Amino acid sequence: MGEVLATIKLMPESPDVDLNKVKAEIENSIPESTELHKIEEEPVAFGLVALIVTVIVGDAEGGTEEVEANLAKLEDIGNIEVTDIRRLM
Amino acid sequence: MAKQKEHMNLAFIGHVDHGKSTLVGHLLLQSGAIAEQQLSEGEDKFRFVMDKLTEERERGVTIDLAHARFDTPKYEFTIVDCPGHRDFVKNMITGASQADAAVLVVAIDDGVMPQTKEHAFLARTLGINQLIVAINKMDLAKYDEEKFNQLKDEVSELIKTVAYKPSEIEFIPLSAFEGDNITKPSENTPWYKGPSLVEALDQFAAPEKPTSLPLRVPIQDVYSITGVGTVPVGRVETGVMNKGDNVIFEPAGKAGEVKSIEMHHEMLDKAEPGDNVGFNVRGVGKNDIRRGDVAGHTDNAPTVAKEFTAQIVVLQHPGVITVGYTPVFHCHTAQVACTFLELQKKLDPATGQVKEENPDFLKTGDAAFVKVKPTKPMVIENVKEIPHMGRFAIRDMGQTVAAGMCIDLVPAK
Repeated sequence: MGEVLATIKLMPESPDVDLNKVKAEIENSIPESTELHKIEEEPVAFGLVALIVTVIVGDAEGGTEEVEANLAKLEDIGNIEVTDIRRLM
Repeated sequence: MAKQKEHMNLAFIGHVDHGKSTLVGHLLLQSGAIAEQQLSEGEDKFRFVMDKLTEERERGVTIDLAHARFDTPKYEFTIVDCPGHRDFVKNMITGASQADAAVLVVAIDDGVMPQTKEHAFLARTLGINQLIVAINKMDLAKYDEEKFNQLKDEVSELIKTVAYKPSEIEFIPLSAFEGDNITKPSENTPWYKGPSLVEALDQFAAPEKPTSLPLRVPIQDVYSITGVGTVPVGRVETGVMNKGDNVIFEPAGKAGEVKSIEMHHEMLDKAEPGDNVGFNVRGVGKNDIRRGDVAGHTDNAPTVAKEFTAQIVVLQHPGVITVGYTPVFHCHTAQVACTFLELQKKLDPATGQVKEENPDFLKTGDAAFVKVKPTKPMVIENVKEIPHMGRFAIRDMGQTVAAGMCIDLVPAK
């Protein structure tokens, strides 16, 4: 069926959020069907730093729903957005 | 000094079994992204490529191959192989990565499939104006000209329904497996006088940043930062925002002055389309505006729609869509429930002609013109004026049930 590489941008609640703590929480919130590829920090503006999470999911029903739902629930995260989606070869 | 090549994002779309990945693999091979000298001559060339990709996958290199680049004489392309499953449509519509052009892959042995139809519609919805149609697997049809022409006619009818002009689009008979007509004319299709795929890619027009359109910045989040003040964060979709500009946030209706702009923690004097920025606005409080609002210049404010007309395609719905149905529309960063007021016309997907005026219902696979009314104020623009702000995905019951674009609207004020 193929696999999809999804890039998800997580915006923190404030510039004061402990990013290392959030990263650990991200690792724990990846659903079983999803493979975490990496987490990167992306400076945004005025001290705000976004976390860019790339995951691999199946090109199948549900898409990124479950991982999006889990990440959106994280305490220190304001909102999340899937910014890129493409199939792996 | 040689001019730097222009960059383009190229999407591969089409039905999942029609050979998109094989075609991408072969393009990379023939354009040198995968070294030719590593390959032995002969029948198993392609197998070698796929094996090599599998091998690299195991080493984790394929992640980079998901961002595969290749060069033609004129352009540097980044390939985006679009997911096949409908559940990714929402992400494709609201996501940031925008394809500049697309290759629609249709297999000669299978013809136009529902996904071919959906993807052609999506390409248009996503604002992709430049298209090539790759008629793949010609080897399975013995490179038959007549079969090619039949399918070409069929696909022409299909893409006309979403306002592509077949006369301006290259239809290329190729075999991704055998490598016909990918970089150079194939001996197997002496009747075909058009360009190879790579030659056709070079005929695309260079993409332009939509800087001349009105400023639109959909807000992703709003912060109150100590020592700075109110900072909305978002991606500039169209237009240019300069320091000192007066901006208004709609539908909130709050206006203020842009005091400073930052991207990647660096100060900017202006922000352009594609820039992810935070900007400090004087005169607007954190609680005055929210995610889903759109910033624009006060003298050319974002449009708040009282109701709008849309062209939609129903991707998957367990039942039927009737007047009164109120699912959630995902449009830029906004999520607003909208009620279907009228089902105006149902279109025949094969011809684009009106199949039924005022149908009683719509079901999976139908394309239609509908009139909808947002249940609360929302910003949406006519795709003919600001394409980036006129497309949406319709979600219900945890699924993307439809996708569409706004083609007419009644402003709220």
